[in-house]
Amino acid sequence: MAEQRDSGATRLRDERGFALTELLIGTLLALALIGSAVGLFVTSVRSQPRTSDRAGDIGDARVFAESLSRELRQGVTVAIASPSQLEIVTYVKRASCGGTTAGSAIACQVTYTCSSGACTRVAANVDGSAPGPAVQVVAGLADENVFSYSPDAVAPTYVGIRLAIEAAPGEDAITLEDGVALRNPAPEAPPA
Amino acid sequence: MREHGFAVPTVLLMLLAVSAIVGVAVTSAVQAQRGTTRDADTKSALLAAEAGVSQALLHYNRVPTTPATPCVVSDGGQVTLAAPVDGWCPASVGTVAGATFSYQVEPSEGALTIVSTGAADGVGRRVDVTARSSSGQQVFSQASVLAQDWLTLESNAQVLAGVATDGDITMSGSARICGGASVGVGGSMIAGENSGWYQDYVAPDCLTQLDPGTVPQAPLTLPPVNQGDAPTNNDNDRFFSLDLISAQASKVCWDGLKGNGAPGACGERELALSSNTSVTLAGDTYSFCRLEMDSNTNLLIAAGATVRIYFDSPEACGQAPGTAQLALVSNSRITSSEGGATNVAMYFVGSGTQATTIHLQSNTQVSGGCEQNFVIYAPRTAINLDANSTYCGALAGKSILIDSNAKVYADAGASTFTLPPAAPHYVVERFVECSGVSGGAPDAGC
Repeated sequence: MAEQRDSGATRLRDERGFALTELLIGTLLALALIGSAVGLFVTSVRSQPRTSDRAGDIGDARVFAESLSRELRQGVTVAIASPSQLEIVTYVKRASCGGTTAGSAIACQVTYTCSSGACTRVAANVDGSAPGPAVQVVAGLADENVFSYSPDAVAPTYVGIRLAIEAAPGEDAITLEDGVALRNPAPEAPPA
Repeated sequence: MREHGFAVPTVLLMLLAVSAIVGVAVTSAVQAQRGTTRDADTKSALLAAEAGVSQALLHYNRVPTTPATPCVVSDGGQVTLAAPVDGWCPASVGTVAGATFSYQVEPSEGALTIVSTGAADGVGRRVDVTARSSSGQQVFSQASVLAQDWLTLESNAQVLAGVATDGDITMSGSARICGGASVGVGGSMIAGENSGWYQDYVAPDCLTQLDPGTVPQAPLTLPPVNQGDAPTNNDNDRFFSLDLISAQASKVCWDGLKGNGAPGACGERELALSSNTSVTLAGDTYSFCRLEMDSNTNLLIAAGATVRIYFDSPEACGQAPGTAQLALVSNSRITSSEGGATNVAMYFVGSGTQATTIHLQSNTQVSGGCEQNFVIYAPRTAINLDANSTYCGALAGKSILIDSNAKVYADAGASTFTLPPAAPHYVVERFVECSGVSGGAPDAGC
């Protein structure tokens, strides 16, 4: 009986004071964790719309770069060649230039115009007649100077594409760059 | 028992939270990387498809085919001839830079349709290329005046024949075209200053004026000349023992020697006529570097003869850029010796890097009666007709400038003129990418 009393007293003495210390440390850690999580969550919630928009812009820019590259590859002649505007005669898979998708390609005049952070696309007949509506193909650009030309802008055979995505202060700048050589043979222009 | 408390669960919780955050970041990075990889694979697949097209062009330009076996099939380095099935040749396959390609060809008269598919890491791309060769073709069947890059008429110039170009047609200064016309894809016809496009020619005038805005658009490809062995196997040695000089022999120079045997100022394979002299050609094939005629000279084609003159490339001739390989001035003429029908064709090899020209001016005349097959085929040479020069026959050049009362006309015979059936030289006319479809003809979705 006396041994039992001694053993219980020893156990009580061994556990004396640790529960409170652990409680305090655990509480502190939990508070720190919850605080970090809440901070992260609040930051995420605040930045989520901007992040989503930016991710969307980048995705749109990639799709635009791909579709533009294809139209440039199939290009015949470039009529307007400025940093913010490109008018090209190219092959597009349409029943008519401003019409619905078709299985075979026809020659059309396609004009890309970039301003105020966005680019639009207009398809018309090769002589410029019957233009379709201007369709916004990309937005969120920091620079409207999208196009560059080689060997020159007079008779380019290579078109460079540079899509600089808008970045808020503190954000990393993201720029998509590509370039395409026109594959269809183009006639030389007569001397001026 | 000493591990009772909150520390272990708290740490576990923290590990869980950190793992979740790291997991999200890794997933996001993998997705971004996947997009980048797919972009790279897309480019690799496209390049592989284009490599297939290049291989097809190489084989069809190098390997002679037969009418029964017009297909050149390549598989693992083995090249064989085959017959098409439903118009399409058996598939040829190959690899390039870790990607694979497979292409099929639909051969037709003077043209190839090549559909090539490239694949890289499961990503595929398909392209459709049309290529043309002039070998053995009636290139003037639609129009007698063909200009690869552009056609310009100025100052009362006239074309009384069908015209076609892959670029623009420009008319000014009362110039006119009387006949069918077409411009290149995206090209236009510009008619200013009393100029016009007409049809329905009834001598001496054109009856119906057309709207330049309605000119049709169509691609035009003038493949280069394949002269074969003409530089070494020709009738050049007929000068001047069989192809005789009329009048003063000293006024004619061929290949560095005058007609009288004295050294002359003309260069290698250059025929130069000056001052009221004539040379009559009666051979079959000639190889020239240059032909210069001046001051009332005549190059006569013997009656009944069919003469082909190949003008070699400026590089082979050692000529300076811009050299006029055919220069006719001051009342010089190329025509029949007896005034009847003749058959003369001049083929200019030209150069892809060095400019060459053909210059007819000052009352010169390339055949008078306009009742013969007279052809100039110079797809890489600029042609300039001016100062009352007259040309009758079929005319094809890299560019054509007709100026100052110069006149071009053609008879119906030009439309059936067939270029020599030399080995074909296919060049690309049209490139499009295809959309992904399964089944159907190889070019479905192109």
